[in-house]
Amino acid sequence: MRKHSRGERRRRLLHRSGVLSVLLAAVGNGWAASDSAPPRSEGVYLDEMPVVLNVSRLRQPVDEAPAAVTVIDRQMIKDSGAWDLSEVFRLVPGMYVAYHAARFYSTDSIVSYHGLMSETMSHRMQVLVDGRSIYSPLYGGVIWSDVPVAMDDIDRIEVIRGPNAASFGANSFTGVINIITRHSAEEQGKFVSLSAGSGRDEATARYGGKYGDFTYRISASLRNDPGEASTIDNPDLRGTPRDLYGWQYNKFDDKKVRLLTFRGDYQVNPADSLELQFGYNGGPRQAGEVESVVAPNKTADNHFEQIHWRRALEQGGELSVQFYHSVESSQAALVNTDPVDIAKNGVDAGNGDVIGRRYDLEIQHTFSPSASTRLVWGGSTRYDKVYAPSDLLLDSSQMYQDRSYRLSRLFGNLEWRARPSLVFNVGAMAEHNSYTGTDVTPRAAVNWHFLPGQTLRVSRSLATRTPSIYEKSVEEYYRTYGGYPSLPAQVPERVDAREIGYLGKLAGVDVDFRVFHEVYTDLIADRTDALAHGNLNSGSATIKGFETQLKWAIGLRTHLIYGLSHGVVASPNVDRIPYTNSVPTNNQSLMLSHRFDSRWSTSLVGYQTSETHFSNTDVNIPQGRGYFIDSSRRWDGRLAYAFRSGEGKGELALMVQNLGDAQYFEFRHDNQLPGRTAWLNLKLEY
Amino acid sequence: MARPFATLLKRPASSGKLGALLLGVWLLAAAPWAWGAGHVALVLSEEGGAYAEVADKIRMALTQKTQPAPRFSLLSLEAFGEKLRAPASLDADVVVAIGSAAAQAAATNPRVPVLSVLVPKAAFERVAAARGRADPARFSAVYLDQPIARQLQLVRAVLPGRLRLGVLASAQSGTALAQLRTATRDGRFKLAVEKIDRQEEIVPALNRLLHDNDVLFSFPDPLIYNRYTVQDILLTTYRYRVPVIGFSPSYVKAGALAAVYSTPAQIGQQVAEILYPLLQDPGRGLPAPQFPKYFSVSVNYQVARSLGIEIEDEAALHGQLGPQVEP
Repeated sequence: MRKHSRGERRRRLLHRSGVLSVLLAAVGNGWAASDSAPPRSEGVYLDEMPVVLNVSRLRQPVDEAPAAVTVIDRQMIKDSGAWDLSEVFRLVPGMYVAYHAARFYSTDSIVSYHGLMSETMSHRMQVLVDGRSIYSPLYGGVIWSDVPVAMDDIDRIEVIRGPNAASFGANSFTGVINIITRHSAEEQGKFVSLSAGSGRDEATARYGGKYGDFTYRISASLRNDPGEASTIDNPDLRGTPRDLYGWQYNKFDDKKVRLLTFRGDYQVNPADSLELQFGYNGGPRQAGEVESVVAPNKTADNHFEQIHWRRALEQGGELSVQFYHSVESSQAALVNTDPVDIAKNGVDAGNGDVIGRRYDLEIQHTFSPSASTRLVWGGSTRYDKVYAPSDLLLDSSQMYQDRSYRLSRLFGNLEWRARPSLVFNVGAMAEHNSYTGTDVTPRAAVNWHFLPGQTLRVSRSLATRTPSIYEKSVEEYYRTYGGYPSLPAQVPERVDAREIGYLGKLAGVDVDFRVFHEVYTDLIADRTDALAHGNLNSGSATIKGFETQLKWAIGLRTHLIYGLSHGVVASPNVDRIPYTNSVPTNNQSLMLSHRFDSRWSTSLVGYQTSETHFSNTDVNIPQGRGYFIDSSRRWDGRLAYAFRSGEGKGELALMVQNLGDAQYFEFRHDNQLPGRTAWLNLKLEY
Repeated sequence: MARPFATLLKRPASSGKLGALLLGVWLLAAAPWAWGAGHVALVLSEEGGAYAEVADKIRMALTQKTQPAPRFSLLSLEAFGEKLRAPASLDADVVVAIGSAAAQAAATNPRVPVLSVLVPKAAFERVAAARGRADPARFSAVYLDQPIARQLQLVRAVLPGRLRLGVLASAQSGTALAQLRTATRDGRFKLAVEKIDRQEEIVPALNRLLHDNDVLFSFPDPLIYNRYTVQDILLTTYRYRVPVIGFSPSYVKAGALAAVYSTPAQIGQQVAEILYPLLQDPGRGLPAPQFPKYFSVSVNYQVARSLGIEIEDEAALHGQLGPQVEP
């Protein structure tokens, strides 16, 4: 039996040799004098080193990935001039991003790959931060303002365009957003960032330090965001009578974000490392109107704790164990604003508190069974618990009880490099959950590098999405209390996605192109019609289309990134859920960045979204009319000046969003975005 | 073939002790018959690990080659110190000083020829200068470092066309920087050098270097390349997607792209080849200090793939580096 770890033994050894040289020097006969050479100058060759670039830090090249991937790196985030994290996803082909202030619980942005907005929240994606699933246990979507991550700490974001449960787990349904923060060793020293401008005030500070094998960083920030302007200038009613649209004024969407995050990385010995994280995101968040109910004094209180142990194995293998606990909570007293209703029920519209908790343990093992294969496999178990008296559909007898959800899964992916130019990936996830039982979702892909630097990828992936705790509460409520005793239990939503992709360099331009065909079935219908038909899984849709992403280094200093997506939805639109056109037919994004010299740089970013059918934000949903949000176009710009001061460096940048002051709407066609918005940002690092 | 250092170092210390014990027993048993065939004193800077590995290889290779086998004494630094205080008790024909501390200790004794191994060139030269040992026939070395030219050959082999080398240097770089400048004088490579004084300057220096360079070319500077800085260096270079050419297998395992190095067994083999004629003819002097003759190439293929670099297998690379490199 080994009594001591290798690192410990080495330390003891070093210690002993240290003692030895002291001893020898004390003997004083001169030959051990340490002035002529360091006693262990060979140590630089012989010492063991910790495995730094381990499996989890190494990026898979996009042309070897079994799915379409868009990588957004720090430079892109910076150049995009994004104010809110959700905005950077506008650069991803096929991603629909809309800021809104509608639901009283999630006054926030929608980030949805391939749309399918049957709900007002995009709940069909897996979203991870450093391996931690951050979609809300309540609705299944992400409240982007509540994520405890500072934008300046993000290393990169990988967006997997398409389902990929085998690699990313539950809810990897239409796509996956994988946010990776920087290692604390990369953020040593002091950092300050200050922003001020129209509705854009923020102060961020970070300190990164080191104690021997332990590095850490602490980031804190305060943000004041008054949201949209308080009046709507130009509601586009398309000839519809004004009284059909409830919103005369813009929403209660002021928010203050107080953020504190900590990350510590401890290199236990050359093979083992421990990553510790915790984060807090809280502060006042107003929540806007739904059916005359608002929450002007809502406060958020989110936090998480995470521990991740990794052991580097031979031949680049890794064993990893991760546990996290996250709490998403908010307190809100709901206020009634409808005079008629106030007369009847009073101003108090109930308790809008929400407390969602998640506990998750995951074990993953990566190794190479043979020279040409690599296997990643593991398992995880999760427990979600939600307290939400007003948001869940509950009988008054159950209102103040917790609702829970359990999930266990096994997953694996085998990568086989049959030839240097031919890579097969076969993977699957087996999932068992407390709502819909057991499911197996496989994925297979082949990447063929038919010429050097030219790759063809063919893949097929199946995935499921289980009902959220909210959706489950709807089903159970209607079965037990709502007059539908024979309502069957919901089954998971399913997708069968196929694609053919090309990656390569054509005339100096990096091209990522793919055509896709996605068949969605058993989509959960949040409508009374579905109850009447006795099937809450009545929805189905097929999306066909193509996406392309181009990166062109026009010169050493000029870069162009362009994205285009085209998708057409075919759906029977059962139960008056109009999936057809719920994905914008064409989306474009463009980012042109240029470095004039070592000091001055600029970027210009443009987005265009074609008109979108967004039924669920119609004020009178049951009418099921053709409800479109107009196409929109917007330009953002950034001009930055970098400088050095003594040991440190800094950058002063001017950001302008909506350069052309375009009046346009997102999410709902009276949800008007602010016009031209400008702010200054100063970053100092030393 | 060659096992990397890292795996050798994993040998539990107890097996090193056991080995030393067995060797002692074996020496006692063999001594009466080996008398007269020469006596090699092996001085270990530290017990176990690479030091013991070199000693084992020397003993094995010489035992196989010479008949009768020479006598070996395996000495710790303390034991060697004892002997130096009573010089008469040191009856060896040659001392192999394994590691810098052993080299430093052995330098004080001009009576017996000393061959230093597992010692970097810079460290050996400092010891020789400090002790005034300018007699290579009696005080010589097999360096631990590779000749710069061999490292440059590795860059050419794994990263053809990448010609802009970024280099970090400090006061502890020794003569490596000067050697590199000499070796790249032909203009095939372009050098960009950032000099630093403190470890905290590494990341800012890398930020300046990596924008415009294709490779971070490293040499064994203990201030810059140690286990406390490896994270900063490898994470920063990876962020810039610039590969690192290392100098040890453990740096490659940590995340450098590739390295050329010599294993303890390879060094031991070379030492045995140097000692063999010397033991046959005790009057013969030691050859001049030399670089390792045998070497291995190690590549981190995971890092290579992630950086989109295609690299041949290690054996093919080794072939490309060729055996002949001028010191």
